[in-house]
Amino acid sequence: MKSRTSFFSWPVFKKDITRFLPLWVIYLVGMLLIVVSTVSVGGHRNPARELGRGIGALALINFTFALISAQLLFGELFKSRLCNALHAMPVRRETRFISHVLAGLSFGVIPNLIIALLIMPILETFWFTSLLWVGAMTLQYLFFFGVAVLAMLLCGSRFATVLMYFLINFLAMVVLWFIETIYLPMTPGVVINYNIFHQFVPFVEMPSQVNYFIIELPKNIGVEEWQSAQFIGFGESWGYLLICAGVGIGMLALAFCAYRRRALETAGDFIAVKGIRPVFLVLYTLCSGAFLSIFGSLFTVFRSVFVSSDGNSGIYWIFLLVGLIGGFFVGKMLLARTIRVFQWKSFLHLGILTIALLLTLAAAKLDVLGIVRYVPDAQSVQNVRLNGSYHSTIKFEDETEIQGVCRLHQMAIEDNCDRTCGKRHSEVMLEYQLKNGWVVKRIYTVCKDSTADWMLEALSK
Amino acid sequence: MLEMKNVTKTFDGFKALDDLNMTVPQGCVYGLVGPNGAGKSTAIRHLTGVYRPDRGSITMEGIPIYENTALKARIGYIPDEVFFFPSATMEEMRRFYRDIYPYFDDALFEELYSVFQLPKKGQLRRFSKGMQKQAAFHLTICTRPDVLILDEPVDGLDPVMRRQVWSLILSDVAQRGTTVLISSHNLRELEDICDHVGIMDHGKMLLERSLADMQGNTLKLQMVGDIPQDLEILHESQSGRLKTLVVRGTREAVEAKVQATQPVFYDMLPLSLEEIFIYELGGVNYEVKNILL
Repeated sequence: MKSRTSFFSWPVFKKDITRFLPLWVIYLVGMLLIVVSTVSVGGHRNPARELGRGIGALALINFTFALISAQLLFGELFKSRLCNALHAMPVRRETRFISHVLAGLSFGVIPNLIIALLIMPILETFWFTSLLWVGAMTLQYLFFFGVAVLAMLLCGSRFATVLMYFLINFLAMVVLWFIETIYLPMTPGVVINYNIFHQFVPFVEMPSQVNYFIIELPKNIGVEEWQSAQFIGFGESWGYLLICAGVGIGMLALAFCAYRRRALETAGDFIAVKGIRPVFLVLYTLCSGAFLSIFGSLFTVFRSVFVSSDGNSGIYWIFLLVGLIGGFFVGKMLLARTIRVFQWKSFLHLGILTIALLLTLAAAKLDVLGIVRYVPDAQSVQNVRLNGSYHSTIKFEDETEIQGVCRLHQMAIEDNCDRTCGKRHSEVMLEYQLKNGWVVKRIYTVCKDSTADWMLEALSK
Repeated sequence: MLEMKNVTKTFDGFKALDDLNMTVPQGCVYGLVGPNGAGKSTAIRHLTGVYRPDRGSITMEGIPIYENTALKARIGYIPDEVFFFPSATMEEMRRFYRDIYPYFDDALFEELYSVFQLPKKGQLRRFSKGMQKQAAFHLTICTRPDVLILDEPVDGLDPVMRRQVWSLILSDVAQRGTTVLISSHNLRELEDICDHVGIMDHGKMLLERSLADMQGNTLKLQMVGDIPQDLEILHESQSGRLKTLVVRGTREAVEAKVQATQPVFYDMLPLSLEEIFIYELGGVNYEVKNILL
């Protein structure tokens, strides 16, 4: 007979809740202590506002708790004996997955719901903000839980899951580091928009988001703020949180697909999904290079400050190289679960990776994509700001003036120096607001005492 | 009826199952035997719907088993290494099994406490290996399976409990027509219980037939005289003028060939399952080797 599809198993869900009860009791107690101390403020501080401001910081706790929850719920996939016995039972994979996910979500929601009910008396007229707080916690947790579950389904061991979880969460930072440290020096004038990268690291971005509840405070002096304050609406931080939660749901969907296809014999393997192994190796190699380089740069600073060194930047590159090569072979060892990885095949793979990296460096240096040479078409520009020395800014909106600035931009590209000419330098900063909504920023260094001097010389040409 | 057709499974380049064909008739007690690494446990995991084959099909009554909860509810599986939730007791596992398996028999569970005499409240992880095996039997039999798949079922059990377990299994077969598949290295025990046998090697099924047919088709021939040319000989040895041959063929056919050579003396003896196993695998280079240390 054909099996009926069901997406929820009460026995599996009940088992998850009861087995891991101590975990979410600890979470409940810990969060309760933090939240009560946040809202139990006296004097002129509004408890609801403090509650809203504290949401971001609690992301750090949800980051950890989500990983622990996922590890406990899906840890059965990592032990072959447990995995085989459970999957021989009459429960479909879809059912098991959904039941585990619902159990995991209830770990994050139920304690916070209890806390919300407990703090309502403290919030008084703003009692409803505790429910909004639950909503925010749920959205935060949803993102981190989605990432953690995906990491569990891609990996075959707990250690690998933790590594993968950190890789996914901090990948944008590593990419940013490489761009800033390696590629940016090769692309004069190009400026990174750090805000964009930070958006891809919720662990860093969420704590900085504090605008959840907009509460208008009374203007008259001497009245206790929380008595006369008014709740106006939702802050802009919700937008980012909703996007993160959406990403978390997407990750859960990917994890679901991975689970349906998962070969259970991979229990105990480092990475369970074959196609992800080379991806992991590359990411691990890059991360190792980045971390060791950061250590190297700290070491160089230490030497220059305490050991009066002449600032040997060669050490920095050595750390990077050692980090990349060491990271590659350690990654190989982790994947193969043996230290015997120094074979011709590994060196071949290292060679391919090296060539790929060198090609990207060459592409950056030779400006293959035309990013360095790029000057916007004057007709596509809405306005342009020109910043010079002493932070003076001129804004141009007239098309003729914009055309002039574009020609100036071209000259700045040609005159851009690398600060080794021995003369005084100035910076020329351009910020284009294009008609399609994009913003293009460039910063050039010119060998002149001031930007104005350079502009005069450029205009005379 | 359980059936595996042309099943192939590879683990990182190693072929664990190589175009395996196996048929377990309904209501029989099937012994799956083979040397270490033959692929018995892998085949069992396919039959229980844990692994997905690279090629081929695994069916029960013609319906694929993989991810089929209705069929899996009718299959009871006791692996070689039993599993319980950490810190679970017999009663906790009973509740879990009762919720998962639709045909779980609570009354039988109570009754079996007098047979296995396991403590109700102690943590299962603290039980000895034998006791854990008993607990696994206790739970699995109560799910009232139509198919019972056992991987090294009596490993770790004392002789009394072994007999008890076999008795339970056979009584279940007699009363309910349960189909049983047993994988074990204890061929002497299997011989007393099984009515069908399958011998595996290197992921393939070497030989699969009823035990009666198998014992009827492989004989030990002792003779003094010339060996007939057209005998299918699995093993040959000689002590003085007495030749001992293990041959494949029916008693009547072999006797006719032997009589044609007019030997001085001959006798034909049945082989035990263990002997059949040894001599059949000797034909694929897995014979007992004379090693001098």
